[in-house]
Amino acid sequence: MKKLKSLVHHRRRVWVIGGSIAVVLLLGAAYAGYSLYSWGALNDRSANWQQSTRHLLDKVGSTKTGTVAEKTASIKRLQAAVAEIEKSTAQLCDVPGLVSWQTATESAKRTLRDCQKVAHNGELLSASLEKLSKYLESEAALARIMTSPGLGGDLSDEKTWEASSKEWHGTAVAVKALKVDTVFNVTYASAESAINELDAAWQELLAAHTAQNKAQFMSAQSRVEKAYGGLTTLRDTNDHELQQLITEVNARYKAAL
Amino acid sequence: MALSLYLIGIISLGGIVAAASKPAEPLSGLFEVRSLPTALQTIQQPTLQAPAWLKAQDAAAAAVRTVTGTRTVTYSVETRGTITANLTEFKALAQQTLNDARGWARLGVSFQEVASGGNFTLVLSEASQVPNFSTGCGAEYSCRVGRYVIINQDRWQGATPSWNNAGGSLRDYRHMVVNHETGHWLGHDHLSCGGAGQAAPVMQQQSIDLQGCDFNSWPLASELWSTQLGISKV
Repeated sequence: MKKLKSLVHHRRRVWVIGGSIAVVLLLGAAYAGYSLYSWGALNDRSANWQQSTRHLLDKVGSTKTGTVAEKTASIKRLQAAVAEIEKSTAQLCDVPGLVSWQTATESAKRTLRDCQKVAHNGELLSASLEKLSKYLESEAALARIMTSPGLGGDLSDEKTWEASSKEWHGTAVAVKALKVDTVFNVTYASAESAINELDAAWQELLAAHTAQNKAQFMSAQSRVEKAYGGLTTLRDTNDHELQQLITEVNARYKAAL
Repeated sequence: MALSLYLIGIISLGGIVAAASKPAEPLSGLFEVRSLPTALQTIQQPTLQAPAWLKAQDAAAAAVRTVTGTRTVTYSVETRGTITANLTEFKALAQQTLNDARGWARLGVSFQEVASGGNFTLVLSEASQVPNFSTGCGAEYSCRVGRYVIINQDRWQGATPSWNNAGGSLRDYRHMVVNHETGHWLGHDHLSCGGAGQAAPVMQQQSIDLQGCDFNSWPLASELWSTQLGISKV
């Protein structure tokens, strides 16, 4: 009887130990699987991020830009893309807490480093796209001021000179009050200089016209005609500045994607 | 072996096709989002007509000059070689320049285009054709030979590097070159800059060098004479 009791007791201990070992092994296997899945997912996320960002930007880069409304929509799409890229890169290389200690191993460290490189290039791309969108936004605001029909009509007749002078003065005041992003500073300075000169030249012409002073009028007439050359400089500066930003964006696109 | 070559060919061709269809600069389309060029396009440099009071003043001055008599100088327009410039624009700007209140019209003359003949012939010439007028003319600049006032098409369309580098506008260059070459016909030789910062005489070779002078497309008061028309200083 005593022997029987001892045997039953012994068997239970074996089951408990055996069961415990099985549970530990099962948990270990599950954890190993989870680790493999987590690091694999990090790799996949980088690749997917590159693919979806490329797709997103290809759409942004190939939209119609003929009308003012289409241009405005393009800028908005660009801004939305910037926000999207910023958000997605911020979480791209998040590693679950349960496996984060594994970055002590060379293989996990390499996987994380690769992902962080992709994320870093993504951040650089997003920063240059943001600069571009801010430039385009400021440029559009300046263009809106300069689209006034009073600036482009037939100004050859003396009857229109007073209105024209007022129009350019109003434009100069509006441009001075315009708040633009720092990335637009060079073009803005060129615009201010050209428009202020046009404003001054038209005022001088009007003064000479009112005073009926021939010498002053001749000089002002030349000054007005020359002042329009400043707008060519403005157009060239704008093209140059924008081209620089787009070259930078393209370089970062290629590096990131 | 044949199959390998075939496959290599297919793969290479695929690569070439893929490379050809892939845009070189993926986001270059964003350059077209800019709005300023469209706005600036609507703003054209005006040609300011002389106001009524100035015309009256000039008419009064001309009346005083009737001692020498106001006269009409006629000219015809011809072309040489292949002309890619807008001839109508050329004729209109030449006519406007010659009769501008700042120009040779201050001699008390008016310039009138006629269908053929006239006192002189204004020629818009393909650059390579200019030397055909005289060995003294080159393909680089405009020229005047006898009754021919020859405007080099390349200069008409693009001014000169020194003019452009100094910030001169194409419109001013066009005024200047018409006045300069017509000035030769009127009897003027070349002049030099009178001093740094002064307006260049229109007979100075501003196309080549401003010599420290400021651009000037119109004859100075000191240039208002013409041996051709028998007009001494106005």
